[in-house]
Amino acid sequence: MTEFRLTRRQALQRAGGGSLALALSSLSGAAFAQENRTLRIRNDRDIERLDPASRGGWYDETVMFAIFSGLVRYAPGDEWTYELDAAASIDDSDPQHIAFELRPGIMFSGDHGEMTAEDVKFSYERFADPEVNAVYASDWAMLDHVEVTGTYTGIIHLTEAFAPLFTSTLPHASGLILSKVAMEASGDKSFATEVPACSGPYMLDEWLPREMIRLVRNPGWSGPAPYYDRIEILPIGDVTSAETAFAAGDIDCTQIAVNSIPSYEGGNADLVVKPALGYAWLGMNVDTPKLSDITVRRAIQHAVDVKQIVDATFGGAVEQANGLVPPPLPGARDEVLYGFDPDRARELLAEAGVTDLSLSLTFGTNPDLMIVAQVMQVQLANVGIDLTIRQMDSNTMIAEAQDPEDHQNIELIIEPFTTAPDPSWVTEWFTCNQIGDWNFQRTCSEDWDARNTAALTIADPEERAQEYVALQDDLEETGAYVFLYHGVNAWVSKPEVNAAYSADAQWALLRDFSAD
Amino acid sequence: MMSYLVRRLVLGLLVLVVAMLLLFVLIYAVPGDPATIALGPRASEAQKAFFREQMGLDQPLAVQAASFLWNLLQGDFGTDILSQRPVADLVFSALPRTVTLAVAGVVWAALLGVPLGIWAALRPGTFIDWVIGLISTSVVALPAFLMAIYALILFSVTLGWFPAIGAGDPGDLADQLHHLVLPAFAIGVAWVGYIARLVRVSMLETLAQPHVRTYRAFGVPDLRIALRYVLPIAVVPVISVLGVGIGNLLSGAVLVEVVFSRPGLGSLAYDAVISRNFPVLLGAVVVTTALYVAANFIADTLIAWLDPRLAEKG
Repeated sequence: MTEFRLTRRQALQRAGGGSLALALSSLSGAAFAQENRTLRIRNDRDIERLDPASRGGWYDETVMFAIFSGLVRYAPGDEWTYELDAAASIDDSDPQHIAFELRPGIMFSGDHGEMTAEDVKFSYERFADPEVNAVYASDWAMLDHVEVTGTYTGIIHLTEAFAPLFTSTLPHASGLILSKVAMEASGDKSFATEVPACSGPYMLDEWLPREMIRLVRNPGWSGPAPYYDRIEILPIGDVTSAETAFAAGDIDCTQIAVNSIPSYEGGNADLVVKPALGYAWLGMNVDTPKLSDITVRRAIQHAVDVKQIVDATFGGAVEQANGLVPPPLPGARDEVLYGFDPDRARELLAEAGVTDLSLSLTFGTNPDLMIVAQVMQVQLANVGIDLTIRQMDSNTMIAEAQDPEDHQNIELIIEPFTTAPDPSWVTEWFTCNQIGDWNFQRTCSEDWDARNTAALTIADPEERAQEYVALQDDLEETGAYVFLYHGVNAWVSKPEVNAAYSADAQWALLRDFSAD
Repeated sequence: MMSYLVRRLVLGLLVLVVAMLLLFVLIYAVPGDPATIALGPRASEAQKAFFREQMGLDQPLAVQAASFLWNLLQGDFGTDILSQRPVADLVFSALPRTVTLAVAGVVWAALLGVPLGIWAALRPGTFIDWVIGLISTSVVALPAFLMAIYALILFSVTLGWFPAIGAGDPGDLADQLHHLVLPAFAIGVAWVGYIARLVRVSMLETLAQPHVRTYRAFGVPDLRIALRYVLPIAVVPVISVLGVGIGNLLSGAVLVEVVFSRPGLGSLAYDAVISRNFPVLLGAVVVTTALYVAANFIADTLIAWLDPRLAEKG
């Protein structure tokens, strides 16, 4: 038997080499990189849940739109229109009974067979299954049932007409189709990231958590073939790191910060800037003593010069908002009711008998919002209001705003939201039952809530748009809202890449990307 | 020697348990409802309540802490509240990346710091010594993330020598090393100054010893004396400092991993804080603490072995 001995001197001499060996030994694996027709694109977060019923957010949906198909899908371009996807035809002439016919020959990955109307029925009716516990159950709240009339044909029966069906349900992720066979074989009612079977042009090949998601062509896909053989999606949270990676040539396409837009204008990269489906507003907590008087709130509405704030923050890249609903959507307003008028603001404060008013403005860790707050601080000082800035972690702020007692710490608040392309997604957060959740202003009107619910079923588009304008008018009348901006989404891609995005550029539509 | 090591080991384990309990309380004291964050704004109260029940978040804190420790003893780190994957899978797949980064950072620091220290020690009081001292002191104050940003701009964007993000293809060792160079440099460079100063001081002390004068009297060249007879003695304090320094390197790795979008324990913990993914955060922090304790124990053992007098003193 040989005894291993190492002297102290030998140990010291080998220490450097040992460190290097340890460094090398932890690197392992087996794969290789193929550069042909591979798109490398940034996602700002890693995937969390790819189940259409309980998906996480846009970072999941970007992947889901590539690996699943729905009856219809959002068309790439500048307009919010839909086009046929898995469906060969769809008849929307009757708003309560929508007939569809699937294209034959769409095969699920993993030998789970051909897509049939049974899969459509399974995929949509599961939103109401208590065991699925669907987070997006409201998307199919008015689904009665899906009637299967043939292998490829069926009828979606609704309990009443549902206006968002073709704007934010069927073309969105809630309209994606799963394999009934694969789901039943998995034994689970829902899933997170282990997708039972893919129904889109791509399928998941490999997922290295927080490192890369690799998509490859789905051999069972019979629709238009996508250009790229594979897509590598890199979750890069920090937008500056993503822009650096793009500048270094490590990725082909990335979303960029709004304040980076000028640096890409006129450059070699293809820059795309589109109006976002977002909305930022100054909210006033009507439950706090200082803001319980509507006259004071109205004074603040008049004291804020939104155009100046938006220009200072975004340098002309973003327009000021006239309401909550973003302009591409029906229900967007053309003007505000209580605009900038500092003299009127001073009059109202005097009328309310308020002197030496000091308020706090709370918002999350968004550098844009710090500029917004600083400009607002000056504007409010101009009418005699002292504004204290409270910037904090967004989740901490939300917890405070939702807390039954701590919400009193929130006086003025800014927390931008994003939305799907239907006005109902915008207004749903301002109801009475959202107090304690997402209605940070705590404004409440039972009548308003009833009208908001009824707006879901208004079939006439013009009438529906007018109703959403009126609903926003009423919110502004409460004095608790100052509408700020909707924002833009900006992307850059290499010149040889033909990028494709949704109308708001929230999603990169990966299956539509190509190259010269 | 053995009793010294046993004392150190027991102390290390005690530190680990106390740190874990403290971290558990601190992490759960952070405001923000994990259910709201995980499920998003469209989740109903019933769904959020079900989620809290599933994750054990509805239990009193003491019960959660006891359950956490008990599960940990059985090797169960819990479940990621977002992806529903075992936390152990996430943590132990990230661990090699961070250890590699920290070790490579130490290698960078040693590769630059030791020669600089030797050079300065061989020319004490000269202009070279002054310049090395200035550089060493300056880099000590540099935050790792700042160095990371400058390294990215210079070596990735401007020169294109190294990739800007990621950890490289999992199957390609050369690609992984290529991706490792810049982040390791970023976290290691601050230690160049420490090591250079330590080696310089320690070498000057050793060079003044009688046995070194004897070597010189026998005509042994200065460089050979320095490398063969002085450096092995002078490097002992460096090992002691590096034991503590591993903790700093691990904390430096957090921001560097974020800047380089590099998967590892640091970026895992960072993402978990943002999303209030407490089980993942705890898993990452517990393993990092264990690494820190283990690094200190290894350093203590090495030092005791290299200089048994220290072990006798306790």
